[in-house]
Amino acid sequence: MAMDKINVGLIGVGRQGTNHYNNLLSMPNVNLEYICDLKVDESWKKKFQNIPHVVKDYHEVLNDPSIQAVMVVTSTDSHAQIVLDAAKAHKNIFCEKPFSMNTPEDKIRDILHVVKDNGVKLQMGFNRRMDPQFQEVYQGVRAGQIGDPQIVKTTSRDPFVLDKELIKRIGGLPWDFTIHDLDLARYMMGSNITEVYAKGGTLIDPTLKEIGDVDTIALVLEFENGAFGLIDNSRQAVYGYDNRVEVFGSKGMLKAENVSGSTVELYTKENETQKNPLPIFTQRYHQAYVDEVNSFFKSIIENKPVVADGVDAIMAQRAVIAVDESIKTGKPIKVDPHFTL
Amino acid sequence: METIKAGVIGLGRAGQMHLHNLMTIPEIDILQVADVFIDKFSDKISDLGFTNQTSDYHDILNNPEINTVFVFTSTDTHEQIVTDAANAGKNIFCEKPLSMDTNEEASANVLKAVKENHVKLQIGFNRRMDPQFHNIYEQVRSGKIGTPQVVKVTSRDPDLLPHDLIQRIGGLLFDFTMHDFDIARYMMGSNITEVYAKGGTLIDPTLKEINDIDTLALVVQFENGAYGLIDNSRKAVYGYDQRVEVFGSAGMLKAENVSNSTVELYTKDNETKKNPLPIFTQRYKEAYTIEMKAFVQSLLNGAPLVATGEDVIMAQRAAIAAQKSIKSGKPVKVDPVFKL
Repeated sequence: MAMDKINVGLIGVGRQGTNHYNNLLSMPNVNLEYICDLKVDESWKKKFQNIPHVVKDYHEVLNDPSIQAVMVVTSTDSHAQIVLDAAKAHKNIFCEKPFSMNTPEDKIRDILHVVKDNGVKLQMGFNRRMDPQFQEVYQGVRAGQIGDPQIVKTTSRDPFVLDKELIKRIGGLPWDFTIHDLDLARYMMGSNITEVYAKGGTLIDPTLKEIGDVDTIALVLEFENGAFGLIDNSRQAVYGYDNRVEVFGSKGMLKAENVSGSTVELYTKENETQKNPLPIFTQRYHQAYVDEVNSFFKSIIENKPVVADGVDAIMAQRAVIAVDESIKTGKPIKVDPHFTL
Repeated sequence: METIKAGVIGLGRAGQMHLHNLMTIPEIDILQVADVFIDKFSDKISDLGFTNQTSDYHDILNNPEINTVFVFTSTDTHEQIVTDAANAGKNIFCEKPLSMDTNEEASANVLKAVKENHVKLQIGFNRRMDPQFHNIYEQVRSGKIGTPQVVKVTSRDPDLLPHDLIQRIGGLLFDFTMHDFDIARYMMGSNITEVYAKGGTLIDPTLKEINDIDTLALVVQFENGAYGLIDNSRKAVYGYDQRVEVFGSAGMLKAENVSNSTVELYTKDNETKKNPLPIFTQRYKEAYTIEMKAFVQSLLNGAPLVATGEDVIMAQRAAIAAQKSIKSGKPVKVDPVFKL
């Protein structure tokens, strides 16, 4: 498929959709043809008067033969249906993670079949894979800089507890947050997860129990290649958005520390003070959000594999389900590392 | 007590290192040294000025001038020597662990003898006295990061040990991870209630022959509801990798590796820094001396001991739980209560 510019429809313009919207506008090879959201009314048409079509029903986007790719950034419970319909309409699809929090895996498999049969690309929004820091770690691991990877560690801590209503929509800590770490750990290790043991609790906000969520997680992973992983999560790091990755191997270690908006260090009689990590995911992963979408369009144009596909989504979701189950039962949970479409 | 008249038992790898540190502490007067293989070490030790040597540690215990013994023998002798020393009325510094036995009764009996004889027993959890880690500890205790919620410890040795040494000092869990369990518990200020550990031989598969592992990743739960993560490796090619991080409601404290150089090299391709210090004797050199000085202060001025018999029991329970967890593939509960 040779093309200079891609005609894109953005489906879902909430918290995350707005983030993608702004990025899409900055991309020279993108014609953003459609804005689609259930909440669209007359005021939206004014607000988005630079966009040719502002519609409420995503089928309108899918029925337009000039559209080559859709970005699915709706609430999680609608992902599966929209992806299925988009694949049937022969659109390439970028879909935010998770694919679904309650669709049985064989249903997801059926959808991935439709994606495959229709010859379209499906990329999942595992943006951290494309973060320049983590991508450099990944490239180093793959190039053999640290030999055989033996231990992968990720630390992810949000700056503050989210609103309970939002949590109910986007999923609790394992689905919204830990899923990124599980995907990244697997990506770095280059091997599938075979076991999860997770401890989770409400050390910050005990009222999260009311909606069945946790705010603090510590977990151990085993990979198919025999290696191990450690992940820790918190909903509230008062000093900023704390995101670090470390991969240890037979010939060395690669690690990425936090990114700060400042390199300024203050020296006084008592202390040397550095600036905190960037405060929030939109800032910390700004480049990753741009790069993942650019990479998606490049995959379409050059007909190359996407950075994170449907199988990656299934693998991450299996691990999240295992995290949930492990926290609930207090037992280590085996994860099936095999998947064939 | 006004001066410490000491006997040193065990002059092997650890013993000789400690002996050199003890010599730098003016309050300690070493009167006698013992080792079952004393002939092997005799000349070397004589050169250091210790001519009163014996192959039988009972000679030290029967020496009425001696009020304190330092036990650096192989682990399997700790229980017997500490018990005998306590019954002889000597204060005791003993390397960890007290025992590798999964049955705790023997260790508890040792502590009973210590208590009944009103002597002091300090365990060699040297990392507590490492200036970096101790600084973290003090700040956690003073509330700088609020309520601690997650503690993380990374410990990686620079190279594999010979199999016969491992058989004497214990496998990864008892020789190495035990320190991490103790540091994690020390930082958290709460006892461990559960351990789930994954271990394997990712570096040297022949370690399976002696039932040991070289790589470990584990999660612990504490009595206060908080969590801990520990990872270990026997072979970090870049040096002795020792880091600690404590995360809490009001912030985070972390200690990165210590290097003997602050020099950074900038070239077209890279900025290069020096590696962490290469081995435990260098990394924890200060800690080994400070733990002895703290013991001295405890004996002379009644300052609290840095690490007690109860501390070693708690670490041993965690190590035993990790061993069981690796074997069974299940999380193992740890009793956080200890009564003598």
